[in-house]
Amino acid sequence: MKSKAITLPLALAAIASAESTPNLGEKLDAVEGKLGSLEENYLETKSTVAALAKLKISGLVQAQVQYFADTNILSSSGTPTARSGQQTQFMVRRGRLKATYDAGNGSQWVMQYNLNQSGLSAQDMYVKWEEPWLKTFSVQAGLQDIPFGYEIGYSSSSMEWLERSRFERSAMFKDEKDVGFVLGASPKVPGLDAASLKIAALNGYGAADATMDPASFTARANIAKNLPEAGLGLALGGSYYMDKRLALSTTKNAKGDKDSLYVGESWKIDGRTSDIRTRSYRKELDASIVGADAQITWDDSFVPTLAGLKVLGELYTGTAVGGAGGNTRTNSGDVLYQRDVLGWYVAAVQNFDKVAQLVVRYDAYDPNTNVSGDEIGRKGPDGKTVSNGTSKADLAYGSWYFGLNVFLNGNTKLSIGYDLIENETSSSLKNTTVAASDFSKDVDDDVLTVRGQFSF
Amino acid sequence: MNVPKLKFLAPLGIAALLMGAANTETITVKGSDTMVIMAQRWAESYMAKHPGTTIQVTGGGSGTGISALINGTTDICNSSRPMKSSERAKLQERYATLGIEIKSAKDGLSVYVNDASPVQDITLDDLRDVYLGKITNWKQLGGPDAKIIVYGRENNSGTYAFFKDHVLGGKDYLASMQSMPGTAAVVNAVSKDPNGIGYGGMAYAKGIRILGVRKAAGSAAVVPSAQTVGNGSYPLSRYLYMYTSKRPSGAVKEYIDWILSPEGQAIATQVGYFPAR
Repeated sequence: MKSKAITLPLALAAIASAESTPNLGEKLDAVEGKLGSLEENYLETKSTVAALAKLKISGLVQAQVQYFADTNILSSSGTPTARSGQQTQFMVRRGRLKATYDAGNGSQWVMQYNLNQSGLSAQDMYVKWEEPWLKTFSVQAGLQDIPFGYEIGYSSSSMEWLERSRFERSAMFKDEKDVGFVLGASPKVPGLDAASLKIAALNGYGAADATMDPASFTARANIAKNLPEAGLGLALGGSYYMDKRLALSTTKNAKGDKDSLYVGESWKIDGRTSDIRTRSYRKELDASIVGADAQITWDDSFVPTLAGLKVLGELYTGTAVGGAGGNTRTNSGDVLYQRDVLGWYVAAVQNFDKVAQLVVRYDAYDPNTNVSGDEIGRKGPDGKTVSNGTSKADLAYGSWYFGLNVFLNGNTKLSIGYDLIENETSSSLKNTTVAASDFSKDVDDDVLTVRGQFSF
Repeated sequence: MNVPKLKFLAPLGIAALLMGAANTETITVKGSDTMVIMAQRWAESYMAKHPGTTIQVTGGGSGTGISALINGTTDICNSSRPMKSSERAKLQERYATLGIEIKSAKDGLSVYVNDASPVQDITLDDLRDVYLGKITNWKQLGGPDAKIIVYGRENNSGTYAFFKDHVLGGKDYLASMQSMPGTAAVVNAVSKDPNGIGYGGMAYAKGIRILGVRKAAGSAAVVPSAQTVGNGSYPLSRYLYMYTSKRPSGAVKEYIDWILSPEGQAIATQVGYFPAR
């Protein structure tokens, strides 16, 4: 009796439930409706994501510790300096954030900043347009790489050694960037894997000054040919840089020159007393540098654990214009110095599977090929003044670099590098009080660097 | 707890772990969505016969796979198009190698239409004009008076690039093309859309119809098949590639050798592609 009392309400409930349950067709309609709604949502999301995908963000941080062989030596990268008595320093060498918007119609917008302990600085800020018909020619306007040589355009994150060559850092290209227009052409040349030409009209004063009159002309051409059967890749490049510097002073009519509002001094530092004594006011100094570079890659992975060998080199020569302290270009100068320069490097990089690289490089730079040895810093008859205008800025350098790069994963690279630096010596530059400034012998300025890099 | 005994066991445990690690090889394969089904079948079959080898297969598109090869996050990259010279240059920059190209199978890039479509074939010129937006109505192709709904792939796809190079002559796709994330999505969309047209690998052609392709208006329509793809008479025949950053060695070499063996090539045929040689 008790079980019957329970069964009846259950049966009634089941019938009621069956009446309210939708049939299969209704269920399908409901599912289809939900799917349609999801598809609409998906399409909306997809269009949003597609728009966002045009904006690419990339960046890197390079944090390093450096150990100097002697105290009171400037760091190899220039800033910051090691304090007196200090042999070790930590620093953020580069902190980059780059945004690229590729509209997909040939137009591209690029903005990149560098942030480290020294502050924030602009790296790139340009627009690029590639013509849609042949897709061969392009124009790029704004702050961008100077199209000269191989190293300048080589990504800092991919670079196998820690710093670019001494020539590139010291002879007019220090910040690698300039403001202006670059016309590019990348024609398909039968028999070649790549061919390109870049011609640039630039301010010539670097990233820091965008207000000067354009005076700089730069061009670079390069070709590449691959021989896949032999695992061999060959690339050659040639570059030309031409610039003008006007010696000008911020003091109006400082020298009483009535023909010009602003006057300055220019010096040709070629070691001849007669030249250095001749000052010329409001004179334009010409800078002109040619460069040649070559890169060879060879797949030597037939040897177990090896992956590929790269041998590369560059040579630059010409006339640079800078200040008293070196050939690095200056924003303006009331006293300019013109020197003939020569720089070159040869490097070899051996890859080990996907995980490591061994690097050896020899880097040579002579900031003034017209003077050498004891002639540099030669004192005048009074024993005090320098008779030919030369200084430690005219000393040649030769540096060995030995490095190991270990790729911990797709983003992280650990680099250990040793710079063995040798300078030209001159008894005229003897300094008995500060060892780091005694250029009568090879200064003890070698440096060991351990750097961690994260890039994305 | 007997600490001395544990100390004694610790080196053994480490040794066992190292031995275990030495006996287990993991191969990562990444890239082409067109090839992902075939790559998974290859991996499953190979792992069944080589229990010590683990093969991880993921898609993402040929461009994604090549980027992973350059970054060192994959051992093998699958690509339904040849590597571009700019990509080869990046590989050179990172490893000083040109990469090793392995032709792993052949495919006939197929043009899909809905089962209900009366259109049977299309010339290469008309196909180009459809994807450039110059032909917009099925009536212009002998079909009903209806707007053509154009489906394609996203730009990280090797199939997208192959179609652009070989059909569009390098020109840009029409802006209104619906870009789908994979070949399966293209097939699915066309199977539901009576006015749809799409393209993709032969192996995915389920629930849709493949059009014959004419090289020119007067030439015969060719449908992709083992024979027409094999002898190259199908106008959109293409190789499917595998790339490694250096000469394959060890477990990777053994795996690639097996893929190129009759056994591996038979799997390519079962999936719907054709032997590379």
